[in-house]
Amino acid sequence: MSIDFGGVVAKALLVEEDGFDLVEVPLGFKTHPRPTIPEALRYVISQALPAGRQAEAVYASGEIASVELKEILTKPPLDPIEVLSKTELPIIIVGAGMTYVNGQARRRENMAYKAEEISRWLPFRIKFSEIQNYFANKEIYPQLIPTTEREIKLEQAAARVRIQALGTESASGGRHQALDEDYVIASGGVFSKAPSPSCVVSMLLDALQPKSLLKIYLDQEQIVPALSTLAVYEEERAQEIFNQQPFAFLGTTFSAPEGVGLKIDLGLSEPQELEVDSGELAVFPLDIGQTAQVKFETGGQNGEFEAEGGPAGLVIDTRERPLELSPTEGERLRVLQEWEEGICRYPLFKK
Amino acid sequence: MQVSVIQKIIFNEKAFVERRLPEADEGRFFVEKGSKVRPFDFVAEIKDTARQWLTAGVGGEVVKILPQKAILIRTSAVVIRGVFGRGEDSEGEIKIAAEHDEPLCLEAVEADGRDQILVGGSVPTLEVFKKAEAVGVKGIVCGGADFASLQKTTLPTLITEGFGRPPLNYRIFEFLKNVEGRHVFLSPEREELLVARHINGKEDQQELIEAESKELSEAFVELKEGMEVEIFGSNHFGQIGKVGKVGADVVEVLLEKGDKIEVPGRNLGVVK
Repeated sequence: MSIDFGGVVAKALLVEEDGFDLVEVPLGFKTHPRPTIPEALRYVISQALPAGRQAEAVYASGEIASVELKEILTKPPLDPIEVLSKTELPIIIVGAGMTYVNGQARRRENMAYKAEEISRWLPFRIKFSEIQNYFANKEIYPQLIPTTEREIKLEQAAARVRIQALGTESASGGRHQALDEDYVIASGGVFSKAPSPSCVVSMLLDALQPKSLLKIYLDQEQIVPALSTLAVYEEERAQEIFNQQPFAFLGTTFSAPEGVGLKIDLGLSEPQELEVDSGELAVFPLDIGQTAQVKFETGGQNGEFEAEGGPAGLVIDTRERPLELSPTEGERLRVLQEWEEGICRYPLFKK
Repeated sequence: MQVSVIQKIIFNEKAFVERRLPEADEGRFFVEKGSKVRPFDFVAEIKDTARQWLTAGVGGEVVKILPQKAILIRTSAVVIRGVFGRGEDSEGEIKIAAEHDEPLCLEAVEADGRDQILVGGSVPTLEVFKKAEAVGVKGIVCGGADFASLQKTTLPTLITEGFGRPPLNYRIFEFLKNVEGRHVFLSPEREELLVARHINGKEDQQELIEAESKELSEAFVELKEGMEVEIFGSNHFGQIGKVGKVGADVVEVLLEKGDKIEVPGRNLGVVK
């Protein structure tokens, strides 16, 4: 069993002969009688392993895992950032404990101090004090689930700011190079609990601002942190689980800031032609299981790629790079609402 | 569904109160390790021109002495736990300045509020903190206040629920109302308000709370219909209600005023 103490919810990955099971165990509020770390671990194990279920070994990583746990764990606990640094997958995690973008990580910071930056990504007018109070309360009660559309938007705006901050600090020269692969796995509550796949895609496009092809996977069960811990000790078993594709494929995105002409061949009759002017976000409805050969022409250059369909479709992003938001509030709100209409109204998750 | 337990009032038989001389004061303590003290006993002489004597403030036993600096007194006390504190340790007389669900506004901070620790629902503006500081208020205990205001004040403050306008937990309020006028100790750093047990005064209500408020061992309980819960987040932040139907993720909560709402289980805490 591999446990990740994310600070909010512990995730226990139960590895069994014929598969795996991921169990979520919520941890307590700050004001509660605070359990000691070993007590918390025993609690998580008791919740994750009901009577009669056995674990061969227990590994742990995460915010509250520490050397204190050595006595009751089969293997010493690990620092989550240390664990993730051993993976070579293009992973983005926006969680309660940290933000992690493809090799760079930052421990939790109080987003109440970033109210102005967050407000710039919100498609409605808001007082800074509302943003500050919301995120200051998240520091106290990190496990709170947003229950209104306004709160969801606040969380998503903060996720953009957090990812952007790390992308910008990339040693390889900025957020555009933060991802070397043509795909990314998004993990963390803000993604897995997003109201639609398109919202996840929208957050990633805004924050990462890729320049060409990007395929997006979602860690819907939030298995990545616990799986990464397992990989440190039992690489083969972790690989077996990874091969079972525990991630949901959301869709393919293609970015071309100068605007693009596309010929999308679904293998049916004639390829469908699509012109997207510069500065837009558009969705071509390429469904789950469908693939298309796409020929494109942008900025005088031609190319081709294979697009896989998913619940977010094929997303074409022709917005400028770097993406600058207007300093004028009215104009910014208009543009944000336009982008949202262009992408976020795409089909909801099928529960 | 397992839900966290919230316990904000705890009776502690081994609470500690530090009595400190003003910085760089050449005063001296009269007491020794093991001395038994009562709240109004003088424990030190102060050279400070404004004050001459330092009282024990609580009844108990002196357990540690740092000569010419401080003493530590062990006492029994009710500890109010908050979620965020601002400012330095302080002490003063409890004064109820507003109801538990009403804002503590400018008018509630009275000119004779010197040496008081004000209690109220929430602090709506920075001006309230400024006025309180100006009249010599020693601290504020409230349900909530704006994050930005709390960054800009140095007035010792304890918030018990969260940022914004949540009401003060009514159990805390009822307890503090009962001990209004009592000398209490505010420790924003430890996010606590300490109300030492009264040796000779009224103890009836306090005894009841003490009996109920022994620190709990469990941090989580199985949520059941009829349990009292506090809501965190969203529009009902800080409100208390009773559990109705318990679903897989969402719980029906009946609010005090009769409204019925649905709340994710993770946004609830069982009140003890």
